[in-house]
Amino acid sequence: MTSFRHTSWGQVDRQKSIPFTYHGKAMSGYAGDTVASALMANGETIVGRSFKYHRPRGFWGASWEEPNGFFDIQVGQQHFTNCQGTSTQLLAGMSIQSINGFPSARYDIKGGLDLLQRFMPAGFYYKTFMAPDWHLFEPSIRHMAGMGRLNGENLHADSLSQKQFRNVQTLVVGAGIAGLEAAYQAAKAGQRVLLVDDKANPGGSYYGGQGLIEEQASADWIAQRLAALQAMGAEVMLSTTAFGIYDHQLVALAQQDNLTSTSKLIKLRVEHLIIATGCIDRPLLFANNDLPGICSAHAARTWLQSYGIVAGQRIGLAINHRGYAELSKQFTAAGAEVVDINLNNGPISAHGWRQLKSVKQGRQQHQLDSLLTSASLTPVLSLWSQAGGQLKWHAQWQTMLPADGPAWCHVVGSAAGHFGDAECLHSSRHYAQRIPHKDTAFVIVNQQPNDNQGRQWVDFQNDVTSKDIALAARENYTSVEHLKRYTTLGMAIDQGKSSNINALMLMAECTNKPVAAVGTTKFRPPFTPQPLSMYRGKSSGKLLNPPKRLPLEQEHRHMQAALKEYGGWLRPAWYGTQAWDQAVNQEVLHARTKVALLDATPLGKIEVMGPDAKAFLNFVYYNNMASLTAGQIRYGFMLTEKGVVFDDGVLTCINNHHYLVSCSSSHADGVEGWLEAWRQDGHNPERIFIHNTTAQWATLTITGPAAKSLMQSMDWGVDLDNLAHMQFTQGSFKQHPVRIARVSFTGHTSYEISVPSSQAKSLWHTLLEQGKPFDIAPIGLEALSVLRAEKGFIIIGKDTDGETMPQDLGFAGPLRNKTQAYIGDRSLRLEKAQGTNRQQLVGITVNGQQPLATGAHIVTGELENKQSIGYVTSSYFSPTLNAPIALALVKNGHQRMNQKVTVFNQGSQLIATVTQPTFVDLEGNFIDA
Amino acid sequence: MQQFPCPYCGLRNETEFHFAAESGKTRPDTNTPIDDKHWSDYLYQNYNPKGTSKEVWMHLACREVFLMTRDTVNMDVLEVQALRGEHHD
Repeated sequence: MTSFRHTSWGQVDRQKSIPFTYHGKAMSGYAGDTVASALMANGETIVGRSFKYHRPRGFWGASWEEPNGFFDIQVGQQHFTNCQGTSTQLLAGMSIQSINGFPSARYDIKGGLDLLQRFMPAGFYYKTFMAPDWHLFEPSIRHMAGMGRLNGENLHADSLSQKQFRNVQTLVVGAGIAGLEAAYQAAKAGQRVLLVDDKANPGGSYYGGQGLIEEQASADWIAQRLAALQAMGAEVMLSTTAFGIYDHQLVALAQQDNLTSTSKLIKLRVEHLIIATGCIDRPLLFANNDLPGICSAHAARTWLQSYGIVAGQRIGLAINHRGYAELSKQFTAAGAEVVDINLNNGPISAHGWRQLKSVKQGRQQHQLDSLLTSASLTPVLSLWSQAGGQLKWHAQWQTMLPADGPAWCHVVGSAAGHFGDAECLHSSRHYAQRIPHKDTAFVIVNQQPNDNQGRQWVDFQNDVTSKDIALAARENYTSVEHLKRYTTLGMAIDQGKSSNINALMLMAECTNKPVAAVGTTKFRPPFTPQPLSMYRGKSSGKLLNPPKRLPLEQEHRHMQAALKEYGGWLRPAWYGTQAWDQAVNQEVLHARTKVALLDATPLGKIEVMGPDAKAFLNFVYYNNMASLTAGQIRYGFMLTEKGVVFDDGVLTCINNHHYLVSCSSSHADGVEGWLEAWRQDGHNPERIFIHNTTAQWATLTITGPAAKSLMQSMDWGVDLDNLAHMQFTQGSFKQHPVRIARVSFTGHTSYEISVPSSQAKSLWHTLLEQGKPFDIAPIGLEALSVLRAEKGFIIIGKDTDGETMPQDLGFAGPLRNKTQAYIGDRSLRLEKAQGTNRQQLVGITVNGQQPLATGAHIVTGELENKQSIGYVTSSYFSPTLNAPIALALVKNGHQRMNQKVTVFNQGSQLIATVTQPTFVDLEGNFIDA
Repeated sequence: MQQFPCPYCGLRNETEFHFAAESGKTRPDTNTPIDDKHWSDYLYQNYNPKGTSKEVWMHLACREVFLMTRDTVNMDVLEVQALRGEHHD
């Protein structure tokens, strides 16, 4: 192909020169050029190498249907890979490299692969590289077959893309004449209209053209429609691709002005969708139809009208229909010699080495450097199909057309088979009536499949030929989905946009079926490749999942807390600047010897009220809660209906109609939802009320031997002398209500003090001040984890798994004694629940100072007979005992007390001892120390 | 992204909702003897119909539980009904 730039045609701005490099060579284009048009203007003919055989390829398409010309592009510090030349706007300073060719597409040292083609049919890799193991061959094959390369740095991942959520009444996709007319009609009917087009300019195939629309210059017609739309308040968005239709009439739009600008993902909810996406050429099948210089006729016209690129000096037209009547005149006027080839006169074949030199038809030979082809027109119906629209095969036109579909979608213009201008505009004007296409309005010249010699390329990028499809049919890969995977047809960057219909026709021929019976592969979003960074937008890190903040965060920071995330809350892990293990050990010992202060605000606090509250809670809890009286607290489990422990915590009875459910800090929302579901579906919701007050009350816990003395030294407006363990009372703190519960997660005397969140700071500072004589110090979550493990108190989800039932944790009482129904009760009596081989909670001790690895397996047997009987769930160094401790779930653990077991972790083994899951204060004396 | 109409809050994105169960299952009275088969049917047997499905959902934002009838093939929402219809104006 000796393409050249016409001196005046096209819509590029010849006053603005755009410098760029191609494989290091300095070149220039004009403002308005794409990478493809700039390369063609600079005489580049071989711009890509095919995936498998490394065949030389030139540009074929006008835009997103281009299968050949993909590039790695560096702009400044940013690197972009696999950019489609025909749809990428040229920017100043671009450094462009072709892909899949080494050192470049023009001089590809792997070009010789093509000579081996007869040994590499479809399925070649599957058949050849099976034994002993595909993975041995994979690296070198991937190296040979790879597409663009990531350079590993300077990615554009950090550029922030935006997301927008909006709605519109009528969305029109495609701003060609069909789309402009349909948008105009919808706006005139009073609809709120949005018109989008993926190109930077409206007009579709008329953009830059000299033709007439309704006896008016096309540019004027387009400008008038745009002005009218604007006057009626319709919105027009260019450089915007409607790439996907999702459930409930959601359309995804991607807007990006050029490669380096910020992209925007628009999730648009529409009432009506008008699809005016036009059509593309179906490639003509003939021998060597992939030679550089052979391209889509529609593309060549676009290159001429938009960029002033004339495809060649001697241009052949091999067009199988009368849809492009004006092409011959257009190219002659542009200064090219034009040869019209009548496809009724027999099959054609292309000849040339690395570039088209001639086209033969029978004994006739034409010397040509460019051949514009079109076997038929293929409507672009991806969005229609995604929306649930059906396709039907039109045998005379050899194309798919829209059939039945959802009422909110309309296809107009050539996308619906209205190929002539008049039919096209008529269909848009009456889009709601779904005007049927006229069978007589379009004629295919040559209906015979082309059976001449030589390879005929169906999928250019993935090197699938008509022979490969015949082979797939012979080997019984006749389903289109199998055909696609066996031959890789349609799996390239262009996703088969140009190859699909030819493949279906060939498969129909091979299997003697009508094309309609072959079916199509499913159209899935995105229509064109979209960067993952666009989907992500700003949703990463804290913006994706913001942590919940404590009212006392500043106070913790002031005391040099290390803040970490625990169950969604940002909480102090430990305090101070020393090494974390030293800090944790010190905090544990402080809580065991003096008094410690813990921010327990995230502890779930769910109020359950009403006349049926008691019965409801007794049903929800595994434990018997009916006997709980005012001021009492009871520890208990909630189970799922499968009998598995769902949450643990204490229930406080404030009075007979008012209870306080205290649940795991990370689980408050889950428990609230769970309670609500059971309240509304199964109980009388007018007699039970549930409020999650976790955020309304701040809770500080003081714990340790001096806790009681500290509490008694302060005025709480209520007598605490007789408040025993597992009792609750309410008093006042500086004229504000205070709730005081004696509940312990450390084993030592503990008071959970809750005040309205607004009083959190006041309580914190008061406790630190009043606690000075008792040497009070704050402790973090890590110390609490050790303190509770020393006592064998579990954390749900850490020390339990999806099979743990309460009896496995040593709580079999209610199972034996509770008479009223409760959630999960029947499951606890199933054979599996009663079985003898259950994993039960135990303690594990080991010699030395090193704690076991959490997750390490407890095993029996040796070597290949080795079997896991459980695993370590929690493991710490206990500063109280100056020894490591661990909790574990072990099969029949309760029967293995004091037995030696083997603990296996990543190849190493240790001997350990099974114990009761309590390590400190076995008699329970600390609670009233 | 589907949209479901909460009977109390109106049309909202599906991410605000939580599926609870297929409608029509009644919890067996566990104060009476129930054989294993009956209980495991209650736990595990779902119709999972192709087409019209009546389900219990919760709108997490308002915590209200409601019944929704929808088509599992084309995702159309056919009907929603508050569990406490008579109390809702």
